[in-house]
Amino acid sequence: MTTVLIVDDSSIMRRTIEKNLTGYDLEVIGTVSNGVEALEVVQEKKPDVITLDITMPEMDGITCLEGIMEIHPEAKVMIITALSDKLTGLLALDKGARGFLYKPVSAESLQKAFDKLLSRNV
Amino acid sequence: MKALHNLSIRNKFAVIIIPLIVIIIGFDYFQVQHKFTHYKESVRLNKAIILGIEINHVVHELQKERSITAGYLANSGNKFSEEILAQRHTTDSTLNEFYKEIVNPDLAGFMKDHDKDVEHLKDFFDRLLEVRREVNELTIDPSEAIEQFSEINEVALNTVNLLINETPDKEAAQQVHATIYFLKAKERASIERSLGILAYSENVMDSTTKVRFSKLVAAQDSYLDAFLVIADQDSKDFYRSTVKEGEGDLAEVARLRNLIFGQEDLTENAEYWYEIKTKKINAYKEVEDYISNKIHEYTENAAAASSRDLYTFVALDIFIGILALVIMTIIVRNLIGNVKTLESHTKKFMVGDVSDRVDIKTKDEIGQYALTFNEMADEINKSHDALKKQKEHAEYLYENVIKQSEVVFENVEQGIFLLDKEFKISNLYSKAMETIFDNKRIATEMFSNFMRPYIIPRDLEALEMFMRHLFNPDMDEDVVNQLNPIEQVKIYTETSEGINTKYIRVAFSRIERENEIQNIMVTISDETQAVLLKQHMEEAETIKQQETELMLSILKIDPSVLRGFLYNSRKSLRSISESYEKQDGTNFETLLEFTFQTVHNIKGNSVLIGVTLITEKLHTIEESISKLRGRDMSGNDFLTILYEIDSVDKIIADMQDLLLKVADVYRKFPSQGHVVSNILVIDTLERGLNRMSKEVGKDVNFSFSNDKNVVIPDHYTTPFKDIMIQLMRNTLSHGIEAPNSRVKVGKLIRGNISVTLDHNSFDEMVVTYRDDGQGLDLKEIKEKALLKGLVSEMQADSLKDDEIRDLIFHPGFSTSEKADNYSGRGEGMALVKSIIDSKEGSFSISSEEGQFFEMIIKLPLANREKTELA
Amino acid sequence: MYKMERRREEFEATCKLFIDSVSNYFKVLTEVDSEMSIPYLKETEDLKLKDFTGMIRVSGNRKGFVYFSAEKNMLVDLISMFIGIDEPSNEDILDMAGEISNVVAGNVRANLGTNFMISVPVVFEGNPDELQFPSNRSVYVIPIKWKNYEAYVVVGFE
Repeated sequence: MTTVLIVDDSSIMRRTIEKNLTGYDLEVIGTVSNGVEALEVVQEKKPDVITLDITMPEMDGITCLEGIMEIHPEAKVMIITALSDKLTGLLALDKGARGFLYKPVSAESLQKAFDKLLSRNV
Repeated sequence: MKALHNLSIRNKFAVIIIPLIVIIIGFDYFQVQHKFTHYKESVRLNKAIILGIEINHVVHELQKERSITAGYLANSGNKFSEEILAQRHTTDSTLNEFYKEIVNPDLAGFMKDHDKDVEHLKDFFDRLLEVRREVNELTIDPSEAIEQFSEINEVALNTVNLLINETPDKEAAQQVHATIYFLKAKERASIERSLGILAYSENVMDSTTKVRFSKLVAAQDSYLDAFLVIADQDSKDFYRSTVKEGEGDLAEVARLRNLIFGQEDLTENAEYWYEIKTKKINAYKEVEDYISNKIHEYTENAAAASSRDLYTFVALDIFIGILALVIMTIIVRNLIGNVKTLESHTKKFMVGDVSDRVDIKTKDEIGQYALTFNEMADEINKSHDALKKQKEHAEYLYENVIKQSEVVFENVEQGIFLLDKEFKISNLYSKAMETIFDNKRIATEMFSNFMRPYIIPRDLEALEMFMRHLFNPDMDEDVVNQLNPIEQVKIYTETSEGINTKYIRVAFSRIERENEIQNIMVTISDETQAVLLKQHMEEAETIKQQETELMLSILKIDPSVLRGFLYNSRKSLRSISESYEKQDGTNFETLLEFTFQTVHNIKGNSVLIGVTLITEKLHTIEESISKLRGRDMSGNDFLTILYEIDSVDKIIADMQDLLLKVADVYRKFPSQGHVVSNILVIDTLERGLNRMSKEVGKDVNFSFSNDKNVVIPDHYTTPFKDIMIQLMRNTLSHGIEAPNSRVKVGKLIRGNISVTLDHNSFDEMVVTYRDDGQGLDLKEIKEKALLKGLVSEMQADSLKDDEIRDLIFHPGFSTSEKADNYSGRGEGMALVKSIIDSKEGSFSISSEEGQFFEMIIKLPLANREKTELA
Repeated sequence: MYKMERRREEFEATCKLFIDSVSNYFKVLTEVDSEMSIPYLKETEDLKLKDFTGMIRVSGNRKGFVYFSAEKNMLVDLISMFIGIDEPSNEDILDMAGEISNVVAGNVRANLGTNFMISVPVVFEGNPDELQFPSNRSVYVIPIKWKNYEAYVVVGFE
């Protein structure tokens, strides 16, 4: 089963994402609120998919993404952010992110994004 | 070599044929010349032989004459006298023949060549006369005579030899030689005869003669042998059958010759010797004639043959030459003609006459080629037709598809183009691109370079990144497209008319072929109209709201009051800027305070007449100024204030405009002008009071009485209103107590303000303002005045109550610590006083602590009206 | 009200860009700080410019013009400071005014937000008959002092 890690500093967001993913052939193996914790979980559990916020305290999403790619390059990272700055989003793609969603996310958009992310074998 | 290759076919033929013709003609020439020489030689030889025969005849007769002469001389004229005469006659006749022959015109050409030889011979023949004379006189020795004759004969025979010798005809040459040998032998035989006559005449032969004689015989035999070796069989046979050695007379000659050799007495008759010997020589002569004739015949035949040969050859030559020329001409002309035909047809074909065919009848290679050419032409025609169909089809396609898309590209409103993998703009782009960007340099430009002048560097950087991701097949197109940095972007294009602001929307979509991203299609729409319209509507909405608000407030307010307020406010606001401009000598602080006071004053008025919008604005300015108080200020800080003042000024200007429109309405209905304006003023004051009292949390009643129906003239509405507002403000701030305080002193919770209008005998409008507040607190006023430095302590102590009351009219006096929209800071009463003063009015105040405050204002009516009338 | 607030901020930011540009110019190139005096408003027809003026056209959210107008002596002083000519020709002075305007404009352009765009400056001497300002709008005169000279940054927006 595909394993998922949710990284977001907002607990409401974390719960929303998790809720929207139930009923899918996915296992959420963790939800963390910052980049440091995220890297620990990635190191330990090597999740297949990671949803990642960009604006977070302690460690910003881009730095976290770099860390993830270093320890687990096969991870499929989906950026879920409220940040409307396109350059940062593109930078995330540069760093290895493969999906992108703007907040607020609907169940539909999230599922569609996941379908796409998982169907691409890259 | 190359020059040869490049020659035309005609010239190539010429190059081949001309040398051949030269060779043939050369060869022919030599042939003809050879044949002609041969012929000429034959003719020459024939003529030489004719002449030679004539000479031989002479020689033969001379030989006889020599022998007879020898006999005549040896017998001292006693014998042979008759014979000698007869012989001389015969000799002469042959000589005549010879002379006749050499002038024969047939021999003219021939004689020219042999002129010298013949002349030489004639000289010798001429010596004959001398010899004969000496013989006649018997003065010559017989041997000598023989010598003389022999010499002549020798020359004659040599001449013959010269004439007929050296012929190129081998056979003729052989016969000629044989003849010459034979002639030489005959000459020797003839000399033998002469010597024999001599010996038989003298009956003895001396030894010298004898040696000579034997030599003669030997030579004679040698020549005959030589003759027999080279002569042809026919001549030899004739010789043998004619000269039969050892038979008949010839045997007698041999016997007589032997007698001479025998050294015996020669008793035999000399005449007999002569006779016998002559018979032999005659036989020789016969042979000689035979041979000569034969040669003559031969040469004649040879000449005729070579002449025939020559003419036949020449005739044949000419015939073959002409034939060859004709054939060659036919072939060459045919060849060249065919080649030309082919060439012209090829040219026609090339120019486009594809129906053209070559007609060459010959079956040679060119004919074959022509057939091939025709087949090829058919093939080309076929493919040409096919091509034509394809072309028509292509044209159809072009017309219907490409042209349509071009038309679309010309007319489509969107900017459309393709990006290649290097992010370059395609050559083909829709015309709208040029109008959207006011730029014609589009094709093959790098898209990021193209966009550089239009967007900010950050977006440009993002765009480059974005395009890279778009071309990355690992990236999902939808994911990437969410990050389009120029999805909606504002651009500025510069044209000769100025800078245009445009709102564009840029969309990207991948074009994939065979699972590869070939291009990115970019669609750019100009949304300026839509965006501007939206903005415009939003702005229009705001303005409408503002205007509605303004309009509502204006309608509620007495126009004359409002007009004055607006006018004064603008003037005051302008005075702020003017004071800034003349800033020299003043510090920032002073300017700031001045600004504050001015703004505050206007604000007070705005509250009173209820122009909320302006009140709010002015309050903001006051806030800004308060923030700056006590801080280090810079010129920049004033910019904000200035901006705010300007914006208030603009609102006021707008209100003035509106007011003009309203005034128009009033002008149309003038009947109740003043009354209406009075009502409006009072209404304004009442509403203003209500608003203010709510704000400060004090309930106040407003009572207005105008028993005499005093009409406030237009020019007094504003001053009246301004004064009332200031007074009301003061009442609310300082007069009316807080509700609980009022209850404590036994007053009604609601305070009261009454305004009464009256008209006195001095034609003055009397306005009585009264509140039921706590009255003026003289102590507090004195303290404030001291604090503000309006009076010294000494002065303060000596001030009477009236004087203390008057302090409140001093500019800069304020009794309130707190600033809000509705309280004054002392400016209020000063303003009231200045207004009354400016109208040449008067006032008085009265107050009882804890009970009331009252102010009676008198404003002249008639005076003013008079002045106005005047 | 919010809209008004934003507009004011935009106006201030725009003015600040130009003022900062000018002050930066003096600071960096002359090492003598300039000082902004109190600004004031003027009607277009009352506006009296200094001797030499560079005009910069602004477009975008706010349309209008910004002038950098300097008195002759200031420019003469700058010329002598930069290139050592004590008696420059009129043309030199025009060049100098153009140069400052260019640098100011360039600086502004470099710090340009997304909301406006500026043109290449046009330089002129004296007061032209008709100044290019939006009509019916106030013109802000921002005096700038450098040494003992004065220059204006004149801002006129719609």
